[in-house]
Amino acid sequence: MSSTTWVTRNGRATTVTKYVILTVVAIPWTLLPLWMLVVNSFKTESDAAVPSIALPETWNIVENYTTVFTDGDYLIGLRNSLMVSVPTVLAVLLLGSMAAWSFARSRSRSLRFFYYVMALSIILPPAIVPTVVLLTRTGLTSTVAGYILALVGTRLGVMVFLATGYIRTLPIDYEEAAQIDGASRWQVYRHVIVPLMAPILFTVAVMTVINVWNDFFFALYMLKGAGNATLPLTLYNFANSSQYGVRRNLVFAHVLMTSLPLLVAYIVLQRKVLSGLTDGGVTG
Amino acid sequence: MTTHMPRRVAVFAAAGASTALLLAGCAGGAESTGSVDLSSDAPTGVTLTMWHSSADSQALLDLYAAYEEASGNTIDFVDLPNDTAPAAVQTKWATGERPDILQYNPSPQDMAQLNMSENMIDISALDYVADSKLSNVAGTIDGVTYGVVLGPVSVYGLYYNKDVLAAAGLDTPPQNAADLLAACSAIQSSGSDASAVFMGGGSEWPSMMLPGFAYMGDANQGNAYGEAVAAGDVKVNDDGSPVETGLQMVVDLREAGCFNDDYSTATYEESLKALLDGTTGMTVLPSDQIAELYAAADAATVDATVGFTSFSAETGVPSYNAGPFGSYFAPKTGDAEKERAAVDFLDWITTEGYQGYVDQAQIVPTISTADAGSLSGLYAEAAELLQRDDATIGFNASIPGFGNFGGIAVKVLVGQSTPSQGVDDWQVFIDQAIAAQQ
Amino acid sequence: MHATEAIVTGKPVARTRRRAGGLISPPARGQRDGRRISYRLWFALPAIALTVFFFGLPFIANAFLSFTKWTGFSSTISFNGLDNFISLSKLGILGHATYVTVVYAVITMLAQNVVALMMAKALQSSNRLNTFYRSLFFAPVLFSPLAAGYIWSAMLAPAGPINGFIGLFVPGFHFAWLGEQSTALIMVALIDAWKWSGLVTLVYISGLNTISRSVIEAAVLDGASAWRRFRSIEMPLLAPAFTFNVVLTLVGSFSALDIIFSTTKGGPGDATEVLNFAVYNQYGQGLFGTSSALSFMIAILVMITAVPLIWYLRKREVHE
Repeated sequence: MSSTTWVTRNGRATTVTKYVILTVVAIPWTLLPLWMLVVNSFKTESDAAVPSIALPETWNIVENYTTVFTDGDYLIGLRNSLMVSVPTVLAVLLLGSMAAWSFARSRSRSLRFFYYVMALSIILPPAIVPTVVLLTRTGLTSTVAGYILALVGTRLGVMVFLATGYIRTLPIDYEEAAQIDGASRWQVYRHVIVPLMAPILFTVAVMTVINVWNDFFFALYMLKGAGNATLPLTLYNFANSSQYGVRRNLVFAHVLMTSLPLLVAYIVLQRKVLSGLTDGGVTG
Repeated sequence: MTTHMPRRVAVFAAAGASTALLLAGCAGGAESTGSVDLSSDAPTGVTLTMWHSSADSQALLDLYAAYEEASGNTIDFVDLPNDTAPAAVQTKWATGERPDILQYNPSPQDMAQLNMSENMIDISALDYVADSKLSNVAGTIDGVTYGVVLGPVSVYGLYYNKDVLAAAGLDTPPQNAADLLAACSAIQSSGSDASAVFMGGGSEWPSMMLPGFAYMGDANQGNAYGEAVAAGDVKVNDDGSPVETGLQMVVDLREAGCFNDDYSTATYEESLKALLDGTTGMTVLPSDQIAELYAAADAATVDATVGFTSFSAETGVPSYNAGPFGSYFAPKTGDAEKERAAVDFLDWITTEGYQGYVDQAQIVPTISTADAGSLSGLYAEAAELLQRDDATIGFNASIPGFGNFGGIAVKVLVGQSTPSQGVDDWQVFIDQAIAAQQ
Repeated sequence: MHATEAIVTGKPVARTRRRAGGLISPPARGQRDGRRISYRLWFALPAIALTVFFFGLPFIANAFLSFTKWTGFSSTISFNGLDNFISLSKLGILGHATYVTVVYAVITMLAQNVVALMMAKALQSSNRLNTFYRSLFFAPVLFSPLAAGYIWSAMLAPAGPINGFIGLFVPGFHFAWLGEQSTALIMVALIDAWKWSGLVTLVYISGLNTISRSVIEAAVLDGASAWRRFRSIEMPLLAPAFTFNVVLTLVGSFSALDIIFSTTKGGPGDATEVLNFAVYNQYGQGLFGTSSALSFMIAILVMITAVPLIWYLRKREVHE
């Protein structure tokens, strides 16, 4: 894939300077915070109370991480986070793309009205108490199912908005062709639309999974804690489990463990994620 | 062309109807079942939901487990993050959710926020009420008791570094405002590097301790001041208001250079450290922090270095407060069996289970049927203060809109506001809160 | 492939043929519409139902509740007109929280977009080295806002590494970045910006890469300097990406809460009390009606900012 680079006169010198500056910036940007996170999670509580980049005096790795697993309910949180994130993302992708197809191909006024409602849902903040009341009245309060539904309902907006715009740019010929060939609407959706939408599905999946995995606000009010707490909730509870303030070493260990699944997934899928989000060369 | 108008109207009508449904849902919770019949046997095998702070001490957690074993009931815990627990309780409460057992602040003001008479089970018939030393000021509203208070009860006092005070020629630590200012100049003229008084403005709540919780002990004897403010008879910005003079004392101390240099940003943890290493002479904090002092250094050092005494505007009267830890209520849920079990829980922890808890938590018992363990060091000093006859409940107990005092105290401390402006601002909040309660 | 590009530019994208399936002529127009309306509706129904149920209804209910007297003190809810808003503004909460939120949003938006634009320009070409740096700068996006707050409150602590580094040049430097009234808000906004810049950068890179090579080459041949090229060609053509990013960052920071929770909790004093946090505070006092009113204020703020902003930015977009 060709990229748009310009031939400049003082090529080499500027390039070198550029990367030097980038590296210098990357230090406080990513490397230092990550280092702080890792190193402080290895320290004892009093050691970590004064935050520094120094190596630990006493190496407390095993104790800290064990505490995270036991007191910090890590495995429960991990299980719940997976149980919530995966269905939520799938639901958003499936239902959102289905709706986007309708919105993109229809001239119906009422559909247009609902499209705007969904677009608005991206920018307007959700009203938490009425949502929880709703869940209570339908018997879904404090359940994972209710939480998932609430998440999906508020995250669909992004999917629909982006996908509708995207589908509108696709020529309608393929759908029509398939329809003529006798395919049912569902088959058209499955075999024509979804493959064509793959890039946007991927982009939204990435954005949604990061958002849902790290959701704290909804979880605080919609989950009971204990048995069905997700990772951000267990993190916050854990950080607040001492009456006397934040135990930094343990909190950092928990933060690492919470972000680890995403970090691992990111490293593995790195190239796909980045290319999916950036490649926009005009020539294919 | 199409039938969109009626459809749109239908949509909004549906929305309006559902909103009405929601509103109806928010008003009130379960049907009230009145108070519970204590003559019936306590049920067993019941699962009770408890909302509690994520920072419960091990002693409390063991108490819960002991109850489960003794009664055969199970407790389903909902952990609320400690520093957001009050707001989290309110928010969940607003949605109509009700736990079977609620751990909550038993001050009358906080209790009013949950509309006790409609939402909580009346437990005035329990043995606890007669035996408790606090039941008339905590957990009780309008003569009806809804909550039990196990302790720990916080005592507000003056922590002092014995060496710094001795070096300044002070035999006894100051216990009122005038003596405090005198002590401050004594320390300053003794040539010591130590700051006279440590103010942890960065943590915010410490700035309420000196001018508020401790200082107001005299004015609030018998909860007189708080109740008068709640009734609207007295305003905090009246002439000669003790709140204003308390804030003025802080300003005087600041201008005399009595505080540590970083008073606006220092944290309360730093105040404890400064106490131990002698870089400050005194600080006013609740007795809760005693445990932290002992965690930071060995007992012998702490006892030799730090002392704890009472402080108030004029007479050195100790003030105390019962917080959410160790305080429990039983909301009405409409499930008779669970309500009976919840009341059984409240009963058990204040009778059979109580001594075990007192022993493990090393606290001063709030119920006369239990013996205090032998306490030593600072714990003993705090216990002594708590058990004095003139000990007074903190002035926040009944003042509506009290939550705003913290911000105002900080503003006065750092000089963003004057004492008289501060009390004026606070009265506006109090008026709003009083209006909201009508 | 060309996902972001299509969103960002709003243009149809040339596609290679996939499943053409022979010579066919599309059916007559009227026939097409009539046949398809039914399935289109029910294809969209689940999404619409969920959004209406979990976003629409709560929103409308919240709007109604803003005009009621609803507290924990009593179980009756009654309409009280604009009283909530009036008392909130009398207490200074409404005005102050709005001010803090706007300042926060503007700082975040500016910081994010300026930094992202610079990084996008630097990392525009898709080679190995750039991909490495892109992922390096993208990493913070993966952390939860809560975690970001915990990390940075450690970094910015008076005895923390940032001060330590500054202390190398200014001995004895001991400043509470998050504890001083003057800097707390800026710092929290910058933490928010830090967290999202990586993502914003990627969107800008995508936008930059869609600018046709020939246009730039023509400019180079004409002797335009790099800065001139950037200003007159790339920036206008970047407008769709710019719109997307500006709106998202501005609106996202109106809803900021998690970072405040893990750093300053509205402090020092009320210096970082954004609207969402003021909502939470009102709840803590059992005042639900006023809390809903504040929530509603956020919605209004978002609408009066986002809608004209989008309209204005869309107008300025230049399509090749």
